[in-house]
Amino acid sequence: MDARRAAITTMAALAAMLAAPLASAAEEAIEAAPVAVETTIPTTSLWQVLLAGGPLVIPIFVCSFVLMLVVFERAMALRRSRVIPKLFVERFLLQISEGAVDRQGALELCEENTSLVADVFAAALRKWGKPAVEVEQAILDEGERAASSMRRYLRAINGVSTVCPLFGLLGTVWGMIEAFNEIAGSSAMGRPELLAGGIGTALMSTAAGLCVAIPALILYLYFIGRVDALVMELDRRGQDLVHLISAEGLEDRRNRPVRTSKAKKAA
Amino acid sequence: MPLHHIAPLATLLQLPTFWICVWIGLLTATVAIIWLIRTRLRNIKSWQKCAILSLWVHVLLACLTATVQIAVGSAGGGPGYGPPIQVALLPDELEAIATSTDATPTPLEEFELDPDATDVETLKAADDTSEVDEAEKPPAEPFEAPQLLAKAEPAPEPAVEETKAEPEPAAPTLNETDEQVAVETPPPAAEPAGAPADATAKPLASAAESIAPTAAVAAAPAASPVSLPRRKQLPAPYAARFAANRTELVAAGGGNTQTEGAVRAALNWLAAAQSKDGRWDAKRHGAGREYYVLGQDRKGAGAQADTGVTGLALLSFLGAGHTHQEGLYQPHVGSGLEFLRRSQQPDGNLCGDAGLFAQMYCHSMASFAVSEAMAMTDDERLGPLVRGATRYTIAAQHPTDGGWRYRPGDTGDTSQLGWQVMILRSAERCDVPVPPIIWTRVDRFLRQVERGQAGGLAVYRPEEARPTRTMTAEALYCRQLVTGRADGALSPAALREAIGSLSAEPPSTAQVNLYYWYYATLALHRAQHTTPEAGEAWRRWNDALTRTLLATQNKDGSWPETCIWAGYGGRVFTTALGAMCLEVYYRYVPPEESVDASDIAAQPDWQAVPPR
Repeated sequence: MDARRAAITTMAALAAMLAAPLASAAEEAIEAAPVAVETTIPTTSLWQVLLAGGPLVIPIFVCSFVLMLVVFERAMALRRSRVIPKLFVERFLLQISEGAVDRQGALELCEENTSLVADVFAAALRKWGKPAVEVEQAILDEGERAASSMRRYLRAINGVSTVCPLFGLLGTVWGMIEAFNEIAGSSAMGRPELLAGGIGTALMSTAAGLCVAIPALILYLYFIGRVDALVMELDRRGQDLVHLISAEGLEDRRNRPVRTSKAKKAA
Repeated sequence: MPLHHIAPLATLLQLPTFWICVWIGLLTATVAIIWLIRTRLRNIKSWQKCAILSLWVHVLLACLTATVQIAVGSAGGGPGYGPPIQVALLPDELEAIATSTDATPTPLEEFELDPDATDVETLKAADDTSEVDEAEKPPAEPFEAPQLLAKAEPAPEPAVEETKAEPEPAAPTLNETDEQVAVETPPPAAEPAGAPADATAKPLASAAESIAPTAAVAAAPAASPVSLPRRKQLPAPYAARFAANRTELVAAGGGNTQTEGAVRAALNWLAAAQSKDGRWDAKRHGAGREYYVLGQDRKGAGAQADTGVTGLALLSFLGAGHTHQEGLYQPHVGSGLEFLRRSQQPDGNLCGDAGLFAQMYCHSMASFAVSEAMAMTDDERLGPLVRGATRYTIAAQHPTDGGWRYRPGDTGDTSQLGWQVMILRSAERCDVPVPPIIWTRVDRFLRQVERGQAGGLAVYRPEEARPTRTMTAEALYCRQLVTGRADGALSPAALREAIGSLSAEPPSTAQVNLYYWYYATLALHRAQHTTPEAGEAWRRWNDALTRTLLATQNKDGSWPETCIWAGYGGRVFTTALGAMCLEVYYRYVPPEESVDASDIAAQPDWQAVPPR
């Protein structure tokens, strides 16, 4: 409860901070305007140019916010410590291979851990002593569930990368329509600079859309690759466990205790 | 970090100190947020953490975009964009720029000049000359003034001189109305005045056959005994307004006592119609009613056109020789001028509260009135007003097109051009310099609107095809003003075409169009001596004009609002234009008549042809 209140106050503070520099930036622009006229090269801030892009810049801003939200969430969720904590996996496999924990103890260990690999291991442990095929099937089922939970929200990133350019294009078309209407309405025929100016500001929204869409696509590809790598590792670790706890594996260990010393050495 | 430490950092990064402070604050906040998320906010939901982070990333990005300054091209819109500057160097204008002196400021420079500073300078200059005046003989001044002005535009002067019968040198002496001057011939003007001493005798002797030369000289001071000596210089075009023998001039020009009576009645009506604060209230006298003239909605233009109709009313007073310093209507003219002075905006604009379709007309009509008043009285108090208004007019011209329209910088139309050209010509008579390039552009515009087989007709806007009589009359008068010649430097065929077109629609009660009549009367009056046909056309026009105007005038002296544009201008507009039409016989003295029998009219028009 306390944490939630702290979060809310932080959000409010952030909103205030967001508003303050932008307001000051607007003031700055107004103050700077006469100065800019006096100097030889008129300059304007990128922010002002962006705002001149038209109303469709607003959904692009929203998309950008959603994108960053999901990206941060995924970046946290797909950390190795959340999916396959190395230390836990190695200790767990070692303890099983040495026979230090039985089925019930291993299950308790898995339930204590919150990582995804612990869920997969727990599913496998329930089939302790069953034939390898059965254990593998349990691991595959749980692995599938884990993979889909890792892929969750990635579709949102993909969606942002698809929709943002479309918003930008819509803004451009809108702006072009306005520019042409202005030309048609006033006696501006033969003054191409008016048309060029209108199109220039209209293209600004496409640029904004692409500026959001390109990072979104790159991040999407990165996250997809990361999920695939994690799924493969999950599968590999699961196979290791199958070798240890399936009926065949237990038999092998009993017949060839050499492997355990090997495994011990490796650990 | 103290501010004096930040300043060098700012110069190093080429950022304003403000932004350095902002960035330092943002970085601190970033570190604080990361620390908070790792410690105190460790246990909140991951979604909330992500939201905070996402928001913060956007704050940083927004600040980054606000910091980055980019150079902008001509993509209009958004603050920080300067007004577009249009530059055009055309072969015609290169010549004009080369011939113009360095002292003549370009319109842009002139626009940026501090009006107070220039005023002080000119006032000083005026003081200097007046001191010189008092020290030396008063007659020295008028000699100097025309001469200096003639020098300002050097090249074309001799050419003009050849065409006219010795007009130039005669100016100074006749301006005096003082016999001593002719005898003494002060040293500063010795060279130019040497010849004129003889020359003055010639036109007087040759022209006035019935009057003996001595009588003519004697008549000169009697012509306007009080006013003329006080005036430092009266530009020749206005001389006849003060002539003692104005009735003779009227009779010679085609008018009669009835037309003079009509003018007097109209002026009386105008004097009575003036509001207490000096303005002629356009709306009170029926302006601003929507008539959809020529099928266009002008949003009731004219309802707020007080400065415009005030200008027109003042022009009709000035046209009959009534200024704020002499004549019967001194208080009326004075308070009208005072109203215009109050209405002037800081940039020189005299449009008052007029709407889009009326504002440039209002500015030009009011400016025309004040510059004519200043030229006639040489009253330096009007100087800032005239200079400001002229500056605005010059700045409002379209730089390549050469015309004027409803807003400064619009591509022009012929109707506006006429008023602006009249302002500029009378401003030049107030010693307000008009850069030669302005005339070059006006000339270019006039060529754009030329139509007809010989180029004598004109259209309203350059892209139109069908010439109209109103625009033909206006363009012809503009050409006469620009070139300073009665034929407007048109080819004989073009002149014949123009005059033929105008005389095909003489004034009639069937369709009253005072705007057309005003320009056509001025143009035909000025062109009457060019060819016998023109003289005949003027006679017929004049007959129709006087007949129609006298027949349609109301009993109170005003003209009814049946005219085509009367819905916009109201009764003041119709009455002022009607009076000005009937003042045509003495309103302006064309240079060609300088050898005429009239005493003062022998002065030359010193205005020079601009370099072309």
